[in-house]
Amino acid sequence: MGFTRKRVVNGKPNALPALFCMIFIFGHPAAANDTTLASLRQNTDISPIHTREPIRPIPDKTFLSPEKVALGEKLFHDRRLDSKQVIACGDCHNLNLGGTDQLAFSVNSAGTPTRFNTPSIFNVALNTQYYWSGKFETLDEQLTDALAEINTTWPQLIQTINSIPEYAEHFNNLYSEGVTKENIKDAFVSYELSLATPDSSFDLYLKGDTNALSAKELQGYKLFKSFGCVTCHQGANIGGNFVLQLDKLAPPFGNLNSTRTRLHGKLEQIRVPSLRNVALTAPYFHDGSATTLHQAVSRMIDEYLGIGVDDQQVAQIVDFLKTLTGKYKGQKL
Amino acid sequence: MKTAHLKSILIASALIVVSCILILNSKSTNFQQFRQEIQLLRDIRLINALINQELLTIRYQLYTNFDSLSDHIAKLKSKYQALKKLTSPPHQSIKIEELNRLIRYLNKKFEMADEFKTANALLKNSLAVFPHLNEALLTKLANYEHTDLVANHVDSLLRDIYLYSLTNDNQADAQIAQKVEMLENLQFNVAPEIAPHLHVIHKHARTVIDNRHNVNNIVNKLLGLPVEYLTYNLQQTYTSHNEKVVEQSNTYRIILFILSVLLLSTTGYILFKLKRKTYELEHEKNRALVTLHSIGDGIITTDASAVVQYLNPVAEQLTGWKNNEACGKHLSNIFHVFDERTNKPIDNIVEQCIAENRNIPSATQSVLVNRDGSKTAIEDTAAPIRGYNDDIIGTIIVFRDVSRTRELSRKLSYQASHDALTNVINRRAFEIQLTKAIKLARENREKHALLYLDLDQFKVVNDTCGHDAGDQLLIQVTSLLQSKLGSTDTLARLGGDEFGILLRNCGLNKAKEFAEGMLTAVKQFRFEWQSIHFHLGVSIGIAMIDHSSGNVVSAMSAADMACYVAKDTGRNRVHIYSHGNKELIRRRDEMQWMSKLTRALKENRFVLYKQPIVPLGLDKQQKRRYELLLRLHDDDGRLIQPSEFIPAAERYNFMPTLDRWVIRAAFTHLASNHEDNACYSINLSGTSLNTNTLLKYIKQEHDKHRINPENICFEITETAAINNLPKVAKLIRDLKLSGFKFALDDFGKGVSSFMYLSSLPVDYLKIDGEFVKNLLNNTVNHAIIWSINNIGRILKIQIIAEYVENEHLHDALIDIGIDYAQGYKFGEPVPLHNILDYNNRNVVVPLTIA
Repeated sequence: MGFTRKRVVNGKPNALPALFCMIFIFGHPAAANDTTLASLRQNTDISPIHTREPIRPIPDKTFLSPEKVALGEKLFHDRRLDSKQVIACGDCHNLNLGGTDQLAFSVNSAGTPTRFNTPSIFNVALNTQYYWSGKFETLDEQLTDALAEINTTWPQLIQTINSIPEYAEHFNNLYSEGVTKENIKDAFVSYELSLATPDSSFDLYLKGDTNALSAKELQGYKLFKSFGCVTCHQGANIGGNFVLQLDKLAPPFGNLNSTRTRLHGKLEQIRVPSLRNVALTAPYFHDGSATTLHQAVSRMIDEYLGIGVDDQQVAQIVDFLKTLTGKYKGQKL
Repeated sequence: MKTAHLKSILIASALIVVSCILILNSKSTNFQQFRQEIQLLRDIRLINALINQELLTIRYQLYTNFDSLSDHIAKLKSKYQALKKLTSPPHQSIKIEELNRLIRYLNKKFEMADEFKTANALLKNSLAVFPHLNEALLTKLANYEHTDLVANHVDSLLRDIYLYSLTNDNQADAQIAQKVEMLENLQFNVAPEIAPHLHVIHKHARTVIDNRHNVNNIVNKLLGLPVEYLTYNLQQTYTSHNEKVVEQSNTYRIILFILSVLLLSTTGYILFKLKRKTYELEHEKNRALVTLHSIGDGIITTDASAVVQYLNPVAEQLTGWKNNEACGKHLSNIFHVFDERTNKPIDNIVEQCIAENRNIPSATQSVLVNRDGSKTAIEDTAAPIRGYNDDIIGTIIVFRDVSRTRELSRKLSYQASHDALTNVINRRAFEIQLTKAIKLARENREKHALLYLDLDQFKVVNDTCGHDAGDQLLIQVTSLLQSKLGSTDTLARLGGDEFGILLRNCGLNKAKEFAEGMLTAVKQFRFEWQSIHFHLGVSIGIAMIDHSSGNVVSAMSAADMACYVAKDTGRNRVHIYSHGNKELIRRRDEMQWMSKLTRALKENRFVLYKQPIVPLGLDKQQKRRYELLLRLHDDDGRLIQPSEFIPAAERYNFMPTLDRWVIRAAFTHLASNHEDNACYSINLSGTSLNTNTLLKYIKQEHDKHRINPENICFEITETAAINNLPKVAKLIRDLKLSGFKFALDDFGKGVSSFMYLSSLPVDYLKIDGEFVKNLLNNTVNHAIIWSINNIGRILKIQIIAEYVENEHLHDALIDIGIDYAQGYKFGEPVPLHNILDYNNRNVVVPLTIA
């Protein structure tokens, strides 16, 4: 018949917690043969060293169509897509400037400053939520929203792309349907997913190269952990994978009425930002209020933890953070 | 034929295969869908389990990351999206409520997972920072005295709070809360520089306590969500539904398979049958063709528009067209038919056949004109060939050469209406002509004359010179008569020496004139046979036919009667029939006599009388002789003389019956009166002698009654003997051998040729009474009697004289030397039986003549 029946453990709701405790301890023997589980396991396959660490190295590249990536790259940097032909995506997400424009606030096509500091475009594949508010869960959704920044809409964009022969041709070669909303998204997303910066010193350390970090940097990492920074800035992207419910925060987590915790008086949750390539993405915080990394770290420890720190410790943490700068296309950023 | 079969087989198979594929395909798409649905549910269960596992992992680890959890949740969300698309379930057995509940719980799970992350991050953050805070505190405390209590308390609090954070035990809450409270109180008992440190620790401790609660609550809620339960139930529902569908579809497939096999085999069988039928039809067709080819009749088949399709060899021969030439041509080009009598073309029977959709029989006398112009008498029929719906799809014409048949039938009809000897028409044909003439007379007031001719002397020629002479005579007479006829007149031989002539549009005088002319011509005609010359005569009866005439029979009988009268009144003359004629009245009386005689015979009213014949010689001791005479008792008891009824009996052939009655009566008398040793003479009439069975009858009666034949003498008139000379001679000879006696009656009255006597071995001659009556005053009569007597002496034949009425005659006869005499002188006829044995006259004589 080709169907497997009743292979999953036949549990009852009230027994579930106990059951999952057992699964926690002994693994999941009943599902050992399941292909889905196997594929999931594969994705989470990790080496001995960093299994013990809350931070993970950037995973190996997944395959992406080079043509689509190339097309996406062109579109990303093409100011013609802007209805006013003023800016391109790549102007604010400048790959030479750590995937940002290194401004507190960017200026969109209409000349309006953005609401928040522009986050880095690098390693967006590892985020589970987008924007400071974390209101989008996929790049697809985010992309539609971002069209406003280049002052265009989907029909307009499709028309614009169609009017550019090389794009029309390129699309027709790659996609049977030619220039469509879905295909444009696909090209953009393909490019964005390719923007990974692996092989930072810290990643190398995580992967087992114990010489990759200096003693000072290693000390910084230890402080990073002992100050509890790592409880939020964790995972492969060192943040970017969850939002903090600000209304759930209690003392000692700073002043709830500060600009950082109550953004424009409305924001009740904030995405924990990624710290990858953080050394390159000044100024910091959602309002770009910290101009140096040192300043940012000091304020985070002071305001969020409510404890005093000395400059030496901050410097050590900053040293550690600098080891998070990775390589794009083999070149150190 | 074979390729057509192959094609239809291929098409049928292809159709079946395609339909099978289509059906199976649609089913397998369903399976795919089902598989996906079940896979989706199973994935949800699995991911849910992994999430739960991850939740616990994160919950109980100090340093952790949310990557796996986020991954799982992202995956679950994609499944969640897929699940939302299922909200219209493919089957009723799957409850939409269950599905919606699951979706609701999943949604809740996602929300709570976010809360969990926040709470967990905060909890772990505080826990993580504790050692650092403790270390900083201890460093600070080192500068002060009496701080052991504080250090110890903080140290123990930190230890406890670690353990506390990992438990779910609510009882630990109070203990920890107390310690945290103590810590708060300590703030006020320490140096002001230390107090802020304690304050921070206190705040973090509170955070731990609060978030531990949060985390535990969230985890418990998350794990308690009945996602697994609902998913499992849904999966079960889907699976069982799927199984049902699979079962159904399997059954369906099996049925389908069986149906396909049946269909295929049926198709195959039908094709096989069809093939066989085709072969059979082919054979049948060949057989039919061969049959048509070899049949003796001409056959032409056409299509429904009379276009020729086939000619068999006979048809080819008769029409002069070859099959391949004729095919495709219209029938009217091939088949020219004319009416033999009118010589006009006959309408095409095929067109009639098609128009009327029935078999058309042969037209009366068709003649087919060959391609080269020669004609053949044919008989043709056309029959429609019908297709499935009784539509005419063609016709078949069958015809045959009837030249011989028609020739034969023409001959037959000629023979039936003509006399073979003379080649003129016979009585039957003549009567037909006469009928027409009567009809015309009645309608147009025309007058015709009917002549009835009877040759005199023909019998003499026939009897003396033989039939060849008679035939020759008839032929010559016929041609003689024919030479006198006009163009509108008709001559017929009515039988024997009788002829009929119909003179059309002819008045009485003209007819009489014509008849007289005929008489003269016949009189002047000489018939010569083997250097013997014969003179002929003819009796002619004329009956006129006008508007008042009756039917053929009455016309013929009128002419016949007239002819009879002519004959009766001396031959060689013409008699014209007219109503009220005396002779004719007599004839009518004769006819009435016939019924009387028949009745009398039936009622046995005939009686026998006897008249003595006496010997004139010396020997008076001879036995007594009598002539038996017939009398009839009338209805009123009156005695009737034979002269009244004999002519009628003669004419209507009643004499043989009467003669036989007499023979039997006489024989019976002799047989029953042994003492009566007299010799009785019995008269035999000419017609009786003419029957072939008389001899046999006499012998039969003789054997029956065992009488002495010496006592019977048969008297035959000279005329009757001569008319049937060979037969009579044989009769006489045969009966004389048995012992019977014979007398030749009325000798001298007829042709009286002594030549006959040599061939007729009679015992007695009876001289005609006319001679005897006038014997005394007529010397010629005396001489005749004398010479007859002399011949009798020489031939040893005894002579009888009749009509002896007186003594003078008696004496004269004795003088001449006559042997016997008969007459009133010797006794009148008296009844054979005396009064006493009168009863014996009830003798039954069969009516049959034969």
